[in-house]
Amino acid sequence: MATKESLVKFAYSLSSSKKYKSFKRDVWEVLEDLDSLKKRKFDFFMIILVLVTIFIMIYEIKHYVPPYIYAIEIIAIIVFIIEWLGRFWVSSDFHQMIIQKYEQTQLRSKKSSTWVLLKGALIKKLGFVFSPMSIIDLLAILPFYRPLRILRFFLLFRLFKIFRYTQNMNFLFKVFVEKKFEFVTLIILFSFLVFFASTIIYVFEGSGENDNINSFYDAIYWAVVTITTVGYGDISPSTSEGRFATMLLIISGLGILAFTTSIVTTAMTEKLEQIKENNILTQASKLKDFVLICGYGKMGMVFAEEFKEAKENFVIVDIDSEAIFKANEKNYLALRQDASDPQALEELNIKNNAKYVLAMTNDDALNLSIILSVKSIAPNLDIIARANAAQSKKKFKIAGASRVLFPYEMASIATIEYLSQPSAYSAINIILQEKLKPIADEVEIFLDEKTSTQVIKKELIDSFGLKLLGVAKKGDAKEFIFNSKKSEIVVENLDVLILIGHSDDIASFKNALIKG
Amino acid sequence: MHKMIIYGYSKLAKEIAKTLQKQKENFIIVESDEMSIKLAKEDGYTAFVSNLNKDENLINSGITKGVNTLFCMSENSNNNLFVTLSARALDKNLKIISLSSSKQSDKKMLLAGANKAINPYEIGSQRLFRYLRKPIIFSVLDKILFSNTKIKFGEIKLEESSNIIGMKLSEIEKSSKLNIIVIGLESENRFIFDIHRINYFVKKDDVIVVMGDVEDIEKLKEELM
Repeated sequence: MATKESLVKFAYSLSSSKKYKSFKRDVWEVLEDLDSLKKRKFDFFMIILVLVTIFIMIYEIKHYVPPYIYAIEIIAIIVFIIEWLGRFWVSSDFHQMIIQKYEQTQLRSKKSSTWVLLKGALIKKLGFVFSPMSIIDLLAILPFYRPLRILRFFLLFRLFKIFRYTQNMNFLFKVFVEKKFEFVTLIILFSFLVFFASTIIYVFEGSGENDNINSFYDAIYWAVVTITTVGYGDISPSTSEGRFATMLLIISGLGILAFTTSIVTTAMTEKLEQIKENNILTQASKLKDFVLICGYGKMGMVFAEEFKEAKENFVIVDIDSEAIFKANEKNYLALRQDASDPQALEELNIKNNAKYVLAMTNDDALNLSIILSVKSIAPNLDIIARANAAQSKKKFKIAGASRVLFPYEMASIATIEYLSQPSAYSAINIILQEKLKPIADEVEIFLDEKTSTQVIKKELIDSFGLKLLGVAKKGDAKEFIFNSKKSEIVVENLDVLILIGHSDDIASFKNALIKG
Repeated sequence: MHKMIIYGYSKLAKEIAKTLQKQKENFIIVESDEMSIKLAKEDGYTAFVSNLNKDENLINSGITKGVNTLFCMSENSNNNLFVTLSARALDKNLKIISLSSSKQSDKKMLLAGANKAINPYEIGSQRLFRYLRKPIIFSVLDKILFSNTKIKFGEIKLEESSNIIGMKLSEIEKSSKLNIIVIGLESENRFIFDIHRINYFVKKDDVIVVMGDVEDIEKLKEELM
């Protein structure tokens, strides 16, 4: 009973210790956290270490190795052991499992033995020990015991260990898992052919006709060498029946080879695509405050260009691979996905990271679907949608778009504007474009609670080489105050000054305002 | 007699027709497709079936005979290009505004003689982009340009007789007692802003852009004459 109580007590003390938790988290970050930079550095170090030990082992086969070199091997082994113990430790929370079990049994007021408490946690830990990766780790430690020559074979497991440290390799490994059906078919076909051919050759040439075929093992060796089109020639058929079987085997061998190559290459390219996409997705999900552009068509392109110019983060999503290709050519972050699919949007974590979403496809039904998908995930996120027909404007508003863009209407307004006042049109275009100087800019007034108003002298604005167009009261464009003849203006908190000037001048004016 | 022609009845043409109708402009729609013309007539516009591929057709529709503005808004960009070029050859002073769908076709339209190439996708996205970046300025300018506020932008072209020729650009605003703001002026296709106490002396044919009450702008025009 005493052991049980002290065990539970110990488990509770661990779960309440902040130091223990944060230390365990740090270890986990280094060993297992795929997003962590620390893990990447650690992995790099481990790969170097593995390569060094392998090099030593290969070198010592034919050469004399001074004893101090073995010290490196010993250090490496110690690191491997510590690493494995670390993984064993962070693989699951032993104390949590005990506490959970303990509380469960308390709740049902059952009597529990120490064994019952430990069982679940132990099974979990054992599960880790027998997981493929852990076995590779353990086998990689074994060759250290030199007297057993057979153990040198396990040297290869150190190479496998490298896989553990490279993410992309892991992905390629999954190819074999995903194409299981094809590979199983292939292996069955292959073994059938090998068995068939080796039986024929053994029957016709195994009883003394051919000096090189003394056992069924030789026949199998011959069949494999032939079917893979390697053909060493150390065993060759001597009877005409045997030659006939060889011809059949070579021809079917070609087929099998072609089959294998095609399976592997298609699977690899598919997987490579996925790896690429995954990389983009992780890049995108790390972005903060990005703009999501759905649809990379005529309008999406212009937006991407503008955002790039303004150095804002943006991610493009389009279902069409040709559009994605075009976007990739310009080095944009582009994902080939259906933007109306909520799951795809969720993966991008738009709820927390997106500033707003632009639904810019040329299909109104698709745009509507995008609006609703976004709303279902992030109800407060601003969506701006492109309407391709005048009737869609209203529908998009109902669906929840915060602004609807009808390009033809805007263009017609711009046309008329240009016609009636060409000079004013170009002036406004210049000051609204951020590339060119000068620009128009907003300067918001922030006052502390005590001061209700601030007086800004016209001279001050003039001295910075700026021109004041007016004041938008409380940032409301409808309350635009305009007076060129007063020598000073009185502003309240949150009023917005609208100025024209060079951007650096506006910046220094802002500074001067803050300093008072 | 009509002063404007809209060639083609595309989506953009429809919007332009709507705006022109609101401003009570006198215009006709010309299009080679009968169905489109039917639609245009249903929408209440004066419309004719004609393709403007021949010079006679252009002249018949009013070019060189009092029409001052031509909108080339056909869905077919080659037709737009052709009509733009032939109309420019007939009338040097005609204002031609052509529909374009990309930067490359912008250039082609301008080469063919259009005064302005309009790309609805580019304009739409740029305007929205500006709105997203600086919503207050954009809304203020938008209001001034397009709604019936008292404050408007105005343009004044300076004649030889104007009394401010030779004056510094930065002095103009102070010299008038009216409540107007001088934004700057356009001289030889270059826009010069009235900031930084710029040392520019006003010349003949410069176009001054001002902002202010409609009445004040009218008064200023008289003052400057």
